[in-house]
Amino acid sequence: MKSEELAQRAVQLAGRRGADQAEALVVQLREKAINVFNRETQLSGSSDVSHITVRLFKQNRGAVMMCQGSSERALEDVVERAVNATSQAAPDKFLGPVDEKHSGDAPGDLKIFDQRLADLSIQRLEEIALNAESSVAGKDNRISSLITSSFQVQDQTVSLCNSLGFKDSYRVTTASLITSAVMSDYYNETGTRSGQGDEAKLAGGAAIITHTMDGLDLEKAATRTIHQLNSMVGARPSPSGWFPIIFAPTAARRINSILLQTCSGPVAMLLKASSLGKIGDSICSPLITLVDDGSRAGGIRTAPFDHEGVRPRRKVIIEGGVFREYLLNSYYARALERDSTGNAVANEEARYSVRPSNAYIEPGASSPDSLIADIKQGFYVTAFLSPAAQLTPVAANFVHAVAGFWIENGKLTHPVRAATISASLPDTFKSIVAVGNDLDTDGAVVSPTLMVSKMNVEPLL
Amino acid sequence: MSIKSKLNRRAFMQAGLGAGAGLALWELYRTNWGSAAADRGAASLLAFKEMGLDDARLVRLLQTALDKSGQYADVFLEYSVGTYMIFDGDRMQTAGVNVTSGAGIRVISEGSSSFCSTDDLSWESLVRTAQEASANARAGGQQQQRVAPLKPLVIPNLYQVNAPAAVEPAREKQAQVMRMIEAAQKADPRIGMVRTLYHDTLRFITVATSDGVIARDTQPLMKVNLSVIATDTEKVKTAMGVFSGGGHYGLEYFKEHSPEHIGQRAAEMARHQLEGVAPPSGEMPVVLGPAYSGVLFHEAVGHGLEADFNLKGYSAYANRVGQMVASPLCTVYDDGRRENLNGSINFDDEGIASRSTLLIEKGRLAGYLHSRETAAKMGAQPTGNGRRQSFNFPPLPRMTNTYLQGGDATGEDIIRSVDKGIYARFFSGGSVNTTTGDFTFVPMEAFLIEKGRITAPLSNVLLLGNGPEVLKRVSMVGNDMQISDNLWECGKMGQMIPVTVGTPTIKVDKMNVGGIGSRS
Repeated sequence: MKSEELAQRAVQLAGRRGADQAEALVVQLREKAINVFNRETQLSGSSDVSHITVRLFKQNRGAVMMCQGSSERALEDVVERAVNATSQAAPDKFLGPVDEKHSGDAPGDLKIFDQRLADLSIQRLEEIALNAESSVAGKDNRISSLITSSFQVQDQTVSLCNSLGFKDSYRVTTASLITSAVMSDYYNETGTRSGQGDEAKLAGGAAIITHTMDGLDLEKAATRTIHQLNSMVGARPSPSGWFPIIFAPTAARRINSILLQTCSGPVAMLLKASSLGKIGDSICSPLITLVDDGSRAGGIRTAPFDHEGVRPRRKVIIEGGVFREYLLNSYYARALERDSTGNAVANEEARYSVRPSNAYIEPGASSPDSLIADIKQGFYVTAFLSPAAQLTPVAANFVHAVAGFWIENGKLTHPVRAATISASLPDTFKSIVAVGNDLDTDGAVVSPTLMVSKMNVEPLL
Repeated sequence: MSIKSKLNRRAFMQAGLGAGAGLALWELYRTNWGSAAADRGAASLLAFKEMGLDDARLVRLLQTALDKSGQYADVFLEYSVGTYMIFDGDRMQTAGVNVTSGAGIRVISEGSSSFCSTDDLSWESLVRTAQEASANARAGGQQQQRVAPLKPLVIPNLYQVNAPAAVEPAREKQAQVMRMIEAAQKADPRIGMVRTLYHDTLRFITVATSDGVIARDTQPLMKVNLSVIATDTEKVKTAMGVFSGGGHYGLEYFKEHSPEHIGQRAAEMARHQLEGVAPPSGEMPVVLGPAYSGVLFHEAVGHGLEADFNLKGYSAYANRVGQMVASPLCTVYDDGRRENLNGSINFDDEGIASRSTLLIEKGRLAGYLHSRETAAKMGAQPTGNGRRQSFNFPPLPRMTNTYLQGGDATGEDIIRSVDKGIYARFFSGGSVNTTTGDFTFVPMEAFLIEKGRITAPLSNVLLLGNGPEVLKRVSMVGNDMQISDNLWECGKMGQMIPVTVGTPTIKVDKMNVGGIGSRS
């Protein structure tokens, strides 16, 4: 396998040039993509590129080289420069590759590769993108003719070698289908939306990401696209005051990401800054159990090993509201005197970063419909408008702009284009009073419906 | 001073540069850096010379790409090398080296693009890539186009530097970074974590087009980003501050811009947030401070003026050229030709010279930002805004340095005119829906205005609005136009590129302010 040879070669080179330890990750990426707009192909593309990341360690000092373009001579030259660069860095005893005996056993078939996806021709991609566009167009006659669909298939060979004996490769196919459409906001007679009047346009889209041909559900993409558009048409401002809040799964996954940040090694160790608490603490409602499972067959971030060669496993991160386990790579694991949890992800840092694999909040008993039916006045939040970077556990307060539907007497009445919801961050997580039974594991970080007893709502638009 | 006297070969090699074209690069520096346009071209030529990619071969590739009936083809070659350093406090945690090399070949046929890329610059691989781009292109049925004789694009150089930072010794870069870290640490005892990323690249590009342009450029880029976290244990409050600097400069940047300033500004932002009070909420006048508020216009207005969104009818500005879309006080330019700025380019990634493009003139929409493709489809001239992250991406219409022109009022007058409102000075980020123009912005630094005076700093503020609406509600424009010295990276369809923003002080009569409300 070409990429595995390349990884091995880079590790050998590093040793020869004076590195104490080295590790090379090679991702050979073959990609095909199509963009369709109004039944016309705008762009077809294909690429074949290898991304090489080499970590080198010398006297506990770390350097990283990242390379696109993989000629033998280029590799040799750049490895030498990276070995020289280690002398600039400060020593750090927690740096180093993972010993193979700590890597764990190779898992069975993880269902992340589908030859049928790898074999798709550009022409076949085009047919699928056009079909996706038709499914959206056929769903709702309020859609104007402006629909775009982009479809991309990646076939990656990922190889990892290190100087402690780890050597393995896997192949993964990933198809991403994005459909979007524009709907004119004619149905806004009762709205107070200012300014744009008759010409208001709304755009909505949805994405399907899957490792297999069977997961490519065009109908699901179309339904989600229409659902997103409908959540905006005819919007009116919300009332202001303290109300119960229901987070639909599309918004609740962002709540999950705040919990995951609290439990990640870098935040715990470097920032020491989550206002929710530390390991062993009760950091949220006892209804919350949070699982990270990189070994789940077909999962979006499922892989036979992480970027350091650690095999994936299922971990209960939060159990009944109590912070039980960190998300770690080998660097943070050594620093916290634990084992890596297999959550390493390569980046430009010598210690690499940490990210959740397939992380979900376990479903509860409540049906979302019954939760809505029990509310006299409240807010059904479907989306966060605040930038993702703002959703952190660092701030003491939870203040975010959201969109959704207003609930009156147990029913969704009208969309709300924008409102802020706020409360103290610890209070928000402690006062989760219901967890829905509607977990859909389609996505890397997901959650069922979550209900918070009350938050301060201020209308914005 | 010529590079020859400053660097010997060994120092150059140790600077972390290299890969296949190391020797070719060294040739370049011996022939003197950046004194004339021809040298830039020569540098890029040398970088690709050892791969045998001369004009004759580029013409052959273009002809192969047009083999099956395309109307236009281009070849984009890239070779870039860089170094970076990451610091935790004053400890260098990682030293790094980056190399990117490859080619992107595109064919446009009957309004549809076929784009193929490879990281293998061998002749066989390039021919294969051109053949694939040709095979995937839409069938046109016309007779084969001939490639026009290649004529070099020669234009003045916007990035004159003493020496690209990528070839300077590491200790000189580190010395500048340590000064900014120390300034941040000293600024306030509540500052805990200081994190700094220094990064430089030297990028050689060549664009050859079937209509006869050959453009070669060498782009030096240097940037540094410092972030701090400050904690007030008594108030149980944590805050972040971030500031950056750099552009198309060498290390002489730090002679004109003190490294201490970067550390102090990041620390000051964190301090303002720690001391901040809860903002009022609801609709109120908002004064946007000079320079950095330009990012709000970049996001909420600028993207809506990129031609691809308008071509598809997605933008709030579609089919509006000639119409009033803003207050008559607003004039907006995108200008890729400002010396050394982060967003500047000698020519775009399609071989079109950069220029200054008037987008909005006294409130009236004057035009859009074009790539070759959108210009052809809309019957307009390309504006030199066809940009791409790397060889691995097709070009898109993108902004360069986008700014609002200054007006008559002084900044003080504008603040004095507000009885109760908000002064927003620095933004950490935002999100925009390009179709509706709706945006959410999070000021990292904002203050309360009471009775015409800036009083308390604010924390946890959100600004919500609609880009086109906000432009209509601009009631005062300051005479203090400033280009942001903080660097910005702009993302679109998965491609990141360097840009610059700028604006004078602006008063927006009404904007939605959110936060933990004082109204409830």
